[in-house]
Amino acid sequence: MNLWLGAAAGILVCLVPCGIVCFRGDLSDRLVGLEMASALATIELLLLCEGFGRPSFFDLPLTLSLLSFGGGMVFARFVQRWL
Amino acid sequence: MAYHPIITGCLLGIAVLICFLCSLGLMVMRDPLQRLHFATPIVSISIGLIVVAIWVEDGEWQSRIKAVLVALILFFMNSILSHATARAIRIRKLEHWPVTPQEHMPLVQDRGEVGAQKRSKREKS
Repeated sequence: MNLWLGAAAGILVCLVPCGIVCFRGDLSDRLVGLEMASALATIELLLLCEGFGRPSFFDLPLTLSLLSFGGGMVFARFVQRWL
Repeated sequence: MAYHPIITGCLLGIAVLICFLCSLGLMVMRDPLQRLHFATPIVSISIGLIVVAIWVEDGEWQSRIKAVLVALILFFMNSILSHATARAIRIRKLEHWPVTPQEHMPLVQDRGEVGAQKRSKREKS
């Protein structure tokens, strides 16, 4: 286990409060928790790629960062209008 | 390959600490608009420190450039997403976006009135 994987484990712990907010809050709180969790998941993947020493895996956090933006916008729109 | 474990450890430790404090703040706050603010240090400071750590330790240009891209995307997209989320929460709660006189926001109301005056002048001319 190197420094990068240790930091990835630390970020994994940070996902727990986001999960608590997502499970226990109301709809707006859940949306905010989801957005923060997606940012943390992107950082987690970045650290795992560096920790395993596989530069080609860096496409995963890159893709997740773009897709989480789109997903967050769609959820925000739904919360605003329909849900 | 350059390898600086102390610098990398410090940078990663600070980044993880900021993430942890922000996630605790997310859990402690009561209002969703207050909670929304706690994502900003993560996508600005923490990701910046991690990118610096990658540049210090990793010699691969592919990793370095992709890490910078991820940081830039997170930084710029998060501001847009936060605004969209705050707007959605406000419209959901109050069922309107513009500020009303009953909300007692003098600065915003003044701006709104100045903007309305400018618009009416433009329409007249």
